[in-house]
Amino acid sequence: MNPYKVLGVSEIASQEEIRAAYLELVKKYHPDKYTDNPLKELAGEKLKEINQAYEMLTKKQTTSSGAYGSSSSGSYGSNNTSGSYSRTNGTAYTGPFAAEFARARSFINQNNLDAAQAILNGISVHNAEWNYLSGVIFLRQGSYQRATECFGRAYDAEPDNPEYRNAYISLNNSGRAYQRNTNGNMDASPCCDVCSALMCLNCCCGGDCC
Amino acid sequence: MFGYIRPLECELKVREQAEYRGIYCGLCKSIGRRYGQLERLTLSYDCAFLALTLSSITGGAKFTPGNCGPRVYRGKRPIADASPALDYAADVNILLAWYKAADDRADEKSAKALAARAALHRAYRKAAKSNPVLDREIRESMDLLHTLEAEKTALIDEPSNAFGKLLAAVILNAPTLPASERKAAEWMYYNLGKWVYLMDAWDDREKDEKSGSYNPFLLLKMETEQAAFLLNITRNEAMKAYDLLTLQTQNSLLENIMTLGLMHAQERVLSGQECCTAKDAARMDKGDKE
Repeated sequence: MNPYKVLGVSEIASQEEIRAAYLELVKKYHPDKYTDNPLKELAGEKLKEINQAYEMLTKKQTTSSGAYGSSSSGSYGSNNTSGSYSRTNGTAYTGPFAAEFARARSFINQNNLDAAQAILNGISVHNAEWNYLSGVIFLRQGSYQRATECFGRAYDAEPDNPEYRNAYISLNNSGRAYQRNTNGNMDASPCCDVCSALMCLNCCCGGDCC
Repeated sequence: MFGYIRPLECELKVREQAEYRGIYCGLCKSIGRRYGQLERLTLSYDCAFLALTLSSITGGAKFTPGNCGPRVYRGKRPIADASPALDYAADVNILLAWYKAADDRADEKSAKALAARAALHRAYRKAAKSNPVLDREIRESMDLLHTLEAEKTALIDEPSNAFGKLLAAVILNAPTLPASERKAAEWMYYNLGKWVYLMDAWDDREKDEKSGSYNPFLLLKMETEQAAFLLNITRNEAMKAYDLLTLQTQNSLLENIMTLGLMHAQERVLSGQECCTAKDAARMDKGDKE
């Protein structure tokens, strides 16, 4: 592995440049962005890779500023890649059909959505847990309209449950906001008109500007 | 086929614009070489984007200055050299144009669509012969779409998922796609396909209302806000997958399309019909006074 290539910096980059590139990539592969996403594991692998690259480059300099969250507070991704739909907040689901829901969760973890769906179809109680898990399945299939509805119902039924709330809020944020800041000028100012811009270009450069 | 996936040109650097045009010209030439002059008319921005994605993953396209057929007055411009990525995009271009014509014919029964279909028949046979798996997968998706349309499914997820599967099949069947990139590329194209379907359906509401054709947005009586919500989620998912692709070249052109290009197209389509945003209202006011 060439750590410079992984971080996308030149081999003469300063420590600051390396750190900046690394932080940029951490943001890009951040596990929070990929919860409930079929690409969760891939993002985890990428994060591991940049963590390794960053550690290699900082160790070499012995000034060691430490990888993001490594050793001190647990390296980024390692907790989350194995991440799961077994409940994390201590309060395990104890309502009706607890065993079935647990099995559905483990199928979702293995990305076996059909099997998870089959279990949910067999459960007659459509409570918050049922709606939440259905929502996760819909989300991973790309059925966003129904995922939104399911998360909404789960959240309405149990607004205090952090898992339901997070799922509901993160999906809604994704739908409302543009994820990336783009400072492009989207208004149609005269020189942004494509035709006139092309004309200008051709005039200036005699038709073979490149 | 739809032309929603393209860069926001006013934000491109001259070099990026030349690259985009080079790919576009190269694709057109590849269609001409493989299929014939008439077939070049089917050239689409979406397939230029496919060629660009594939060549960014495998290590960038090479360019040679050249003329564009009859337009000698334009002088020589850089044109992408023939490559497996371009040839595959050319095949996809023909297949999509063919199925689009078939779809239009079923929808509208217009003479134009019938003529297009007849003209494309030979090219389609050739493209299908060199990509039998892709051809079958596209046909399956289109059949599913037709069934859903015939049933007048009042759901937006099902038909858009069917079209997402179609585009996912397009990228997954590319011979040059490395195994390590398959997962991310699949999710990216799946969501792009969904996004294109939603955009097209929203854009066609007025037309479909008049002709009585199937349109999930009309059936659901969906508001602009809700449509924007679904489009945003879909676009964000495509972008998340794009972020996980390992590109051989730092490609600001691809970045432009994925961020600015898609967003701009979406804003244009969403505000197109009813001029309801504050910005548009202000602009119209100004226009009135002048």
